[in-house]
Amino acid sequence: MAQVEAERELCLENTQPLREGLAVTGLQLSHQEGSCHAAIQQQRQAFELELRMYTGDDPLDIWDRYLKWTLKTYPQGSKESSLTAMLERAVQLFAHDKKYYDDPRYINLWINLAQNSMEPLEMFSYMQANGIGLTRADLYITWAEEFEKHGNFQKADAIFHEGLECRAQPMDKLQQYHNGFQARVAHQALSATEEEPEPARTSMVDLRPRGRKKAVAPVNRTEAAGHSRRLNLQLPRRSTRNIQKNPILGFNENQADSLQAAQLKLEPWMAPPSSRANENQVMPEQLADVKIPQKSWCSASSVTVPASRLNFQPFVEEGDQTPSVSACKIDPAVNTVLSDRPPPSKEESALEEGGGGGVKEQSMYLKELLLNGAVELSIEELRAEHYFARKRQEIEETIQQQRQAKERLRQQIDEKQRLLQLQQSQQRPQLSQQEVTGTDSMQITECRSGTVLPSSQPNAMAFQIFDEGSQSGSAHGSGNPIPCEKDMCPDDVFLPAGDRGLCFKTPYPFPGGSIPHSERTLSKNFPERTESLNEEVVSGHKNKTLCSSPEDTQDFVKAAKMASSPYHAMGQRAVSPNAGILTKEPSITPQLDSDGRKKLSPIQEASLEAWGSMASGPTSASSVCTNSGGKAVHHLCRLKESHAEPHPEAMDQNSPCIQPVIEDPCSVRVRQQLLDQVDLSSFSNFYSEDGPLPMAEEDGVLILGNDTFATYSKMDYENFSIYAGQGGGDVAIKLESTAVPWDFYIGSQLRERLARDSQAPVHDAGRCFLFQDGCVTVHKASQQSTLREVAEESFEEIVASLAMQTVELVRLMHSCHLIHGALSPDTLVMNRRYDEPMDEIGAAVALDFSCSVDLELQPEVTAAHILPAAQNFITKDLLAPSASPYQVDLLGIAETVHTLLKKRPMRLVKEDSVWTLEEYQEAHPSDRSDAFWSKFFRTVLNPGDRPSVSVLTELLEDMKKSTFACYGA
Amino acid sequence: MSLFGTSTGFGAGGFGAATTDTHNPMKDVEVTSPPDDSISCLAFSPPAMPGNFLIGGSWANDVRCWEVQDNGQTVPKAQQMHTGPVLDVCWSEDGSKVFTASCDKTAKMWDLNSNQAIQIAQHDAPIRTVHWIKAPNYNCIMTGSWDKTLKFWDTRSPNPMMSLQLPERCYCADVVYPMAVVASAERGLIVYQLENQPSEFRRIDSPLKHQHRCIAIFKDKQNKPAGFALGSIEGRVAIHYINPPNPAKDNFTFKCHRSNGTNTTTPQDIYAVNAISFHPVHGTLATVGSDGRFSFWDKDARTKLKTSEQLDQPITACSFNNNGNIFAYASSYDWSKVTFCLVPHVMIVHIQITFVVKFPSNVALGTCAPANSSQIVWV
Repeated sequence: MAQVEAERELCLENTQPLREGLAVTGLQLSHQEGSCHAAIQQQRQAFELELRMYTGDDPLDIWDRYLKWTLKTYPQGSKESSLTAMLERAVQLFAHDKKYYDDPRYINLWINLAQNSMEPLEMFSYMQANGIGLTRADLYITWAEEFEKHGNFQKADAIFHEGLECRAQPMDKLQQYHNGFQARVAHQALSATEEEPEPARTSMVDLRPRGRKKAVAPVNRTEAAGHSRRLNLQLPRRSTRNIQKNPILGFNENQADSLQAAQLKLEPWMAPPSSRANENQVMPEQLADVKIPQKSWCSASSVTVPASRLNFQPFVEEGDQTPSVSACKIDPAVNTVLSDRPPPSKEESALEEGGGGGVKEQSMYLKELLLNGAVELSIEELRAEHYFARKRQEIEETIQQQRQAKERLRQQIDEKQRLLQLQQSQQRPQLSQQEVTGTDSMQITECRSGTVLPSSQPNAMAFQIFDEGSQSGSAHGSGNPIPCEKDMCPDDVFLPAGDRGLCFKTPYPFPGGSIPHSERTLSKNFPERTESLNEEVVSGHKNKTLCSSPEDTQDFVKAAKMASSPYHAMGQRAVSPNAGILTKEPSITPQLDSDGRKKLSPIQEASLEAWGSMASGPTSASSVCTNSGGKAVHHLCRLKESHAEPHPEAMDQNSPCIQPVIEDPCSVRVRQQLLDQVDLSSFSNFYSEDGPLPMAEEDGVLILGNDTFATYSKMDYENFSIYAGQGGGDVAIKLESTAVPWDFYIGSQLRERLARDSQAPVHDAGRCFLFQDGCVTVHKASQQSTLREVAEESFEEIVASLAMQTVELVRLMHSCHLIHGALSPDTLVMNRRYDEPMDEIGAAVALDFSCSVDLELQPEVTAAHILPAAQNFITKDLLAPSASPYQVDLLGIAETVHTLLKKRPMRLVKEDSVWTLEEYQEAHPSDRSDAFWSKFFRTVLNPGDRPSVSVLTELLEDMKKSTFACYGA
Repeated sequence: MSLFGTSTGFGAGGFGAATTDTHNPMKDVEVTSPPDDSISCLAFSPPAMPGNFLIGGSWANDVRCWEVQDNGQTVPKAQQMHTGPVLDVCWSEDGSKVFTASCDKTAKMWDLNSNQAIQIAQHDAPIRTVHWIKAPNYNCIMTGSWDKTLKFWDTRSPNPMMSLQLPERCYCADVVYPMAVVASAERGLIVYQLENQPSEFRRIDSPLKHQHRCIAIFKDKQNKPAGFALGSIEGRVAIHYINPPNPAKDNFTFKCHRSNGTNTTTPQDIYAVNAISFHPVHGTLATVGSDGRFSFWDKDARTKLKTSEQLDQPITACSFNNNGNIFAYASSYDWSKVTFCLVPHVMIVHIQITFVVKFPSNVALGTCAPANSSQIVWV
């Protein structure tokens, strides 16, 4: 620690102070070079590209920000900052535009350039001569400070006066600095008079006359200052002494001469003085400077310039080189064209060397664009950036369009709603309600037929543990449908990526299996990349195999024939892919399905027995077979079965399990019994009606009690469906065909139990309408899209926010002794519209509690294995059968968030008894996203024996602290 | 006339003045099914493979493979996609794999036998170059990126075998074992030796005054890398030997891809040199430029051998096949002229690839009987 501190101090020593103070980030960045290097590079690149992509009318703004960024990021002014190059470039760029000459930002660029140059004073003089910044106080202040630094107080004072004369803005600032300066000078003068130092020459050199430079004292008249272009700063010490002697005004005999000298040198500045010394440029003056003392001091030894001074290869422009032509390697007698010195007439064919003076040249590429920054860019870099900018723009546009479409729909619905209510109030006396509904729904259908919201597909994705051994098997298990043949695009004659079998063989064919092997190991390490590629390609070109099986030579020949005549054999090829695809993959599937039972892992068999103990034989077998179809399907169909024909007797009879047999706590019968104990009618917002469940349809109207709801897009689930609707705000309407209002019960319990704690947020249980043969639950849903839909086009940061909402929901439920049981991105909605800002992460809204368990009401649920939702996890060894039932939800969170994040099922890997996701197995710690998610999943997947509420509370705190998640969306 | 000529005003260079169809003035063989956006790189299959296969990477994010038959017919074979523009491709030396580098910051290995592509490299910025290195004691992939690193990858590991810091962003590179050379932004030039393991050999002051754009290593009579040709963005190529007996004499630069070379009254138009390729047998070199021409040069005799007619679009990439009797070049829109702040999103680009199948006999220098066998031009 102490060492780090010491290092830091060392670094700070070299840090240049900034007027506005140093940014802490910059200081830190400059210390941890390694880790933040990439970030700095990216920022710099962003600036560079912005400079080139800018289309507005104030390009100076970018330069200004770039300068500030550079100063803060490289407080030590390292070479890497390329500050000088940037400043030079910037000032040149705007030099032709007089409108910037009084722009404080432009002046700031100049001042920074001057301060970073070898001769700041010359730079200031240049500025003045060109009328740059004459009205800006900053120029005079820095200029005067520069003089002061050199000890030339008179000159400094003159600069101040000049600034005041020009009424440089801001005047008061200039005045203030001037006063400060005068105070300093006066103070110094006073202290100087107190202990006047003995006048002593410190060096002999200064008195020596040197060429024309006779004038030794600086110019000190105010009017002279304005005209003097070159300032003799050779003698700062002497001038200081002069002032010390005559603190107020020192008239000097030399002055007249110097003024003359200065005026003689008055010449127009053709270009600003160079700000940096070129390393390999010979400076003639300096050379002379050295030479003279050499002669006089050591005249005896040598007259020549010391070798060390010239011991370098001066850089000579190519054009200046005498064209040295290589040795003649060809006999000119044989061929004149190839002679080393071609005759002038054949100049074109010979490779001329050197620049060839006199010819005007013009670059036929975007030179300005490539060089218009502190660092040069290549054409490809610009083009790539343009490509990415376009990509970003496209995404934004799509989002924008969707928002607009949504807004339009909303307006339409509002309008229809109003119309409907109006109509109802008018026609109620005359017409029966049924008819009204009929006509209205017709109208709504009509007006919406053009713009129907895309309904999301029901989620059937299962949780899948990645199996290295069987790639194809896992592809099927994931529930993805086998890519079906699509009509071929006649243009595309390429064998698309992802299809096996290319139609030529290499002389060194790899032994079978070697490639899949490397793919396996790699796909583990780059999972999402490989995945995305395959998906992309599969969706782009489907199954256009030329050669179905690379091992089959007959096929190979056939395919090669077809491939070599791409435009003639279209018809045949359109047929062949089907065969090619069917050979491999589907053959595995039926096999798996038919004797799936035999191939089950021991654990699955154990759970199978558990099933068998609970339900009748045939049903259990079928339920296991559908296992791969997805968790939701799995337990929901069980739910149905148990509802249809409960077999309590059978359960008791053949139970080889050690554990006591408990009836499925989620079965309808159990729930019915439970709810009989509860007086539901005492809950608010509970309405019981005698009639049958009303019919609902997409783009229709649903009348429940006294409320009317417009329904539009519908999502079907296994035994219920959810409509997005409108009626006193956006709602989600869930229709079930069982007359057990379990959702509402759980929702109400959540509300009541949360209300016990004054700190806890208020939960809205929604409204429930119970019918004879069904039940309707209406939830407020300010965000119509499910989490899956939101995540579909969102960045990871938004998914992080969704994850936090999900965690919060589960945390609240667990704190109320409720288990959700079936978290899914399709039955959760956000608690607010995602473009609304929020201060606090709320809980996501669950639209479905059909697998939920109330542990206060069902104390018999003590272990996870009792829950149907847990079976899938137990099969995969993720969950011990005896684990706390709450842990089911933790795994549910993992599954849900992973689906949101990666759009595919989880692939889990067990490492030292810790479950991790395959893609975060070797997460890069410096990648914020990786670090964030890796920690998230690790926590959720490995809760250990800790109570889930504390796990979730901690997790949520951690997530909130992380800079990665932004809740503002 | 393509849209290109009218929309960007290439008139000064003479592009717009063309009245006839100038996208293929030499009537070379055109490759069927070109990609939808500019070609960024071309590579012919190595000698180990029978037949000629051409790989082309494009700005439309795809990499395509064509078979070039002896009669000049081209047959599209397969393609792979990246999620960003493809900037470079190379072959493994046995021809079974193709490596691709992309703006999506990844490099992929495309196994042609199985037509599977997997990621083999990852950088923090787009990858500009990819090269296959076959050394006696190791094989690896070298990737150079705009993130200022040069990385070496074993294709089976997600972590690089070695990562070398570059002074600037990598702009172009070439590898001929045991030598690699990287040219970077701000005119950086570094030579690496690859024996035992890659290591920096020498940094060279650039012989050119403008931005580096393309580089190619040439071999000496013993078939060992001897030096490199470096092309700049301002119509000039430098021939640079690594260990020349006489540096001042042996190293030289020459102008190319410029308009009206002798006319001094009008300004000379200078175009970028987009690619350099050495003939695998004769050691002569081809350069292609944004002026829409390709030229062949003899660096030893210091003469220009042939210049093509002018195409209506810049030539962005070129490649010789393994025995040097096919020369492929891609003419496509190369971004060098567009003021892209003003250009709409969708760019319609006219692209084709043309083959000089009858190339050797085309260059009618068969009469010369060089004194030195290494100086045979086109037989």
